[in-house]
Amino acid sequence: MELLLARIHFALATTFHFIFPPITIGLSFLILLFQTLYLIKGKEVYNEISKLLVKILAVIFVIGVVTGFTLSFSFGMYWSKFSKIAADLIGITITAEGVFAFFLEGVFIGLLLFGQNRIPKFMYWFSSLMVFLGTHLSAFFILATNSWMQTPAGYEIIRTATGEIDKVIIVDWFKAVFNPSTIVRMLHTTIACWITASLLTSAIGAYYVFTKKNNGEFASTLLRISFIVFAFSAFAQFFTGHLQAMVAFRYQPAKIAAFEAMWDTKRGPNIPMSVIAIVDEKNQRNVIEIGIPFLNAILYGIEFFPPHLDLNIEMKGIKEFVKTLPDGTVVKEHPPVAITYYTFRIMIFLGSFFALLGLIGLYLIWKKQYDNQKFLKAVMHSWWLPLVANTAGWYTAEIGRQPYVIYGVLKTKDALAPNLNAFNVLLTIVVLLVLYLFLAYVAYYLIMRIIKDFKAEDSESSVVAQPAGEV
Amino acid sequence: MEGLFTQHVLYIVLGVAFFMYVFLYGPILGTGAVFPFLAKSEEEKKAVLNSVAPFWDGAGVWLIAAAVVMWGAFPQSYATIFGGFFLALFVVLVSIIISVASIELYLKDKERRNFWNNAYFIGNLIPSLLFGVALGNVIMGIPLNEEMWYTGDFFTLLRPYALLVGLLGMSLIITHAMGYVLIKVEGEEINNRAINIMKLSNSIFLILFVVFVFWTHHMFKDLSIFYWVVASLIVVVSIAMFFIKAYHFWLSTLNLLLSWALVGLIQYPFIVRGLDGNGINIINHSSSPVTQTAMIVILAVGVPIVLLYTYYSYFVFRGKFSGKEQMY
Repeated sequence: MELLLARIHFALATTFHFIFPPITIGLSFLILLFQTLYLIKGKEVYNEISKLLVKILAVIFVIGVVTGFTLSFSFGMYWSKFSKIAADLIGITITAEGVFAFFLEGVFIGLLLFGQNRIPKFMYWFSSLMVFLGTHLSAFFILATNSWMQTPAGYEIIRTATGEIDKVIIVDWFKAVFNPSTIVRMLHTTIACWITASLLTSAIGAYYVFTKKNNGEFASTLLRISFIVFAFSAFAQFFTGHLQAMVAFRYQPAKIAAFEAMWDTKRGPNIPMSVIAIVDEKNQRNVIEIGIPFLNAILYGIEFFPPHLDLNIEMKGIKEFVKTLPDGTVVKEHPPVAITYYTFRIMIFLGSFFALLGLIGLYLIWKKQYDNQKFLKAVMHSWWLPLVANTAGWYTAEIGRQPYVIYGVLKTKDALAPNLNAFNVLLTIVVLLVLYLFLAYVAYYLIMRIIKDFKAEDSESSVVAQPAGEV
Repeated sequence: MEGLFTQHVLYIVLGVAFFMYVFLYGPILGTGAVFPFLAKSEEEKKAVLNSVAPFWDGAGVWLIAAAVVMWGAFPQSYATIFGGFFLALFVVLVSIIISVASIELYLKDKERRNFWNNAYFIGNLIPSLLFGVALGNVIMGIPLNEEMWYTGDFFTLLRPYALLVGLLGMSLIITHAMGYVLIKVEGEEINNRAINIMKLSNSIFLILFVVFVFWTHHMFKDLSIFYWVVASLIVVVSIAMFFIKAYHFWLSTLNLLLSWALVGLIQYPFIVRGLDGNGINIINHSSSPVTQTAMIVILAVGVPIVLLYTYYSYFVFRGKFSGKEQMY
């Protein structure tokens, strides 16, 4: 009972937290981009755009920080066994995150929010660079930690006299931090953050073009540059996503089996890729299944370094990960299949939609027709989809690691705090839920008002200079 | 000296991190804890919030830093305290969430200004009391089993000595924060109020501290001469604050530093004391020497840079803040 509730609490705390940092990280990149353009080209419009983004960042950032506090408390409060066992690694990565990233973003965001009238133009640009660096380093250290939990490396297990796991010590730091999935996870997640923020700012630009608020140079520049970032990030995401799947294929075969809801082991060359299926987890089968023949053999048979294609690969099915112990108990060494399968599909479908939208948008921008009403509406109404894709992707990665918290080392059920009280955990879930819903409402409401009320300083003249609609 | 060099370095680092947190974040905790009595008009409230707004995040990270040093260097103490003080820490967490949010949102979210006003008050009042209560508990000792996990409950934490340390911490934090108001917030009325609150909180601190010194001596008879030296210095500084007309903020900073030194002297070599003379100490409950060395390297490289740009940020936002200033 405690385990289930603690997992619900953690799901709630991370899901809500993970709405905000991707926007912060992506916005810090866009602010740096616009500040750099401002520094080089000196056009006021870039600074005006960055002012708007900084106002939005202020709200998003604070919610991200306070919900992050919940997480840094939670590791100790709910998962103290995990905290103790994994302290050798996590102590280092989180210390590095604190010293090199949290302070950096924390101090320089103060300068970014309040400092424009107090510091020289160059120092303001430098502050945006430091916030960019801080948020991205923060992502790196936490993702290195998460990657180590997914594909642990460079460690040794110390056991107690009774054979229980006492702690994990790190013997090779480089291998542990740059474990097999760190780099690809960092690429994939960072680009997801850029997609999230750039589609949000594209939507704001589209809204200004659509409603003719802040029209002229401001709206079109915001939309154009944001959308170019969005489109190229969306294309790149296919590649990084595939790299991640290849790492998982090699190190976490049970996860890949769940991604594909593949119950029996298959051998190449004809391993189809499942497009959509109805998963019947109880009877270990899929009711309806549509797949693309050969595609998985091709995708997982590719080697990039050096280039090489071997279709005669073997993909393990889920049934291989169900073991029966000598005393007759059945142990599932694989994640829950249906939820992993569906969240993976949601991510893939949304990613494909982003790439398609990016392609259409780039064409329209190239033809200078981005005041196309249908396109503007599509962009305006899609801003929240990356948040769904991020959450789905996160669920895929984290649920796909189950039943382990540190893959192959420590099971989630053994990571729980020893003296947890079910009622207390339930109480914290209810309080956090109410608090978070309130914070989400306030954040949404404030950001909408910032967007509606924002008046770019030179937009009036541009509207006069250029007929509306022909931006 | 028993134990490893790294263990002692990180024990000191832990104390310094906690000190840095109350030094830099104390102004927020303290102004919040007396907010309705300190800032009466809308403009004064804005002035106080403006004076902390550029700094809250950089300052708050010191608490995270202290927690991660504890986690990385002395994992059992982190696991025991966070797992054991569950409800108390949850209350602190919710308080921090609403108070931090209030700094940014008070000025922006005009429809709920009253709510954020109370959030800044209650959300800072509770942690400035409970941090001390938690500290009091680990000093006097908490019930631990053989594996060093906490076996008490929420009410175990509310013993008189722990409550005394809670009030002691709160009065020192408020004194410190009033010193901050005197150098960072504009307005004659609010400055006069800050002086009056400071006189009161400093008096309470002085009385409670004397009780604390003798009570602690009564519990642990074998305290060294350094204990009495540091304790006397704290009393001297505290009395001096009544007579010196300036530098209040720096005098209270000195007292914060001395107080953490005193805690270190009482606690050594424990981080969390048990009830039977046992407990989680820095010698038997450390992470591996490799990890500890790596942490010290990271801190030695990173912290000087952090201090440098933190100083730059306080330099940029030097001088007093008023409530008229529209920050952004």
